[in-house]
Amino acid sequence: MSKGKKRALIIVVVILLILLTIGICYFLFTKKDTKDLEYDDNATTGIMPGVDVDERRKELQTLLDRSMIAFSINTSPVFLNGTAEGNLLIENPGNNAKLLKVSIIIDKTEEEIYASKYLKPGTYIENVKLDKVLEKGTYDATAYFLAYDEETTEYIGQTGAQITLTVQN
Amino acid sequence: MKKKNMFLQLALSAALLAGALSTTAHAAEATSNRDIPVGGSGQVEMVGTIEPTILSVTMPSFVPFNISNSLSTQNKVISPRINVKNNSNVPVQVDVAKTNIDISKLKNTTWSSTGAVGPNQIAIGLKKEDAPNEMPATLANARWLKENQTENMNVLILDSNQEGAMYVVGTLGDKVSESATFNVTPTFVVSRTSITE
Repeated sequence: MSKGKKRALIIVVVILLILLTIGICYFLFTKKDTKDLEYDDNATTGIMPGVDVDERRKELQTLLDRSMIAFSINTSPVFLNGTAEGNLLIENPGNNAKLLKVSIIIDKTEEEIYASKYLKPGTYIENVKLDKVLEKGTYDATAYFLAYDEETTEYIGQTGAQITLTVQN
Repeated sequence: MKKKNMFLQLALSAALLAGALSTTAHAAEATSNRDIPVGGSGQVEMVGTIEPTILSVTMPSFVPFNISNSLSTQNKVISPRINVKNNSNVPVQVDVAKTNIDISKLKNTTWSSTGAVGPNQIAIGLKKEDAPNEMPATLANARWLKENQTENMNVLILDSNQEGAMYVVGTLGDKVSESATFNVTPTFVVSRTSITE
């Protein structure tokens, strides 16, 4: 065998040895990794309830912020008589992004004397006629603002405002 | 010369006539304006308009919260920041007018209206924000929600155009089930106030 052929044979043998080593290592390590990465079928993706307080608080804050409503109302509307219109001045501001309904309940009798239909954001009602005829006098009442989702009309929640109605005659 | 004198006399007469006419005109004007002479009497109509007081507020209509005995603090509630903004030109107070409480899903559990709880009791209240954007750790100065509440309970007072915040706080006994949900629905009512903080 010539000197050149010997050298070529040695190189081929060395290359074969290197490839064999790489192959053995790959086989060993790959097998070990696969064994470690067995996923549990019972695991659920997400944050476990009650564990991350800050994350839970953020979720609750999002829900509360979505329920925020802005409203305006006259605290002392006046009606000339029981069947006349009065200046209630109820408003659903444009930045609300919710539908509002207004219900007025007399505190003493818990009787509903007025119920509006839906008010779109950016609308207001200046004067209203009550649904019940009231005698001359002054009445403490609560105006409840009921908020609904603008798209689905799903009920969100309510809040109230204390007002005093005056019927003059 | 004679002609010059006549011209002067005419000019003088014209000036006198003009003066007399202007005095008359001024007198007539004064009369039409109804000036009240000194020492006399007259009627002045005063028209007043009462501007309605508008209550304008931004507040939540729904308050979600979580409660868990696993919290290490005295307050066991995870609460969002309940922000209330008074956009009116008058001070307002925020009261809880009524509270609907449904703990029927919590077996053998009763409601505490004082904040002191036994092993099978639960108490929920509201507390004004002490430090900005920090949930309260303690239950001191909490206003406790009552079952079948009939009187308004004040939770916040805001000056004109002022903003304020509060949190849900609460505690529960160690035998209260933590696997069930319950509903506490306070209704906030805002009103004009003369009370200041």
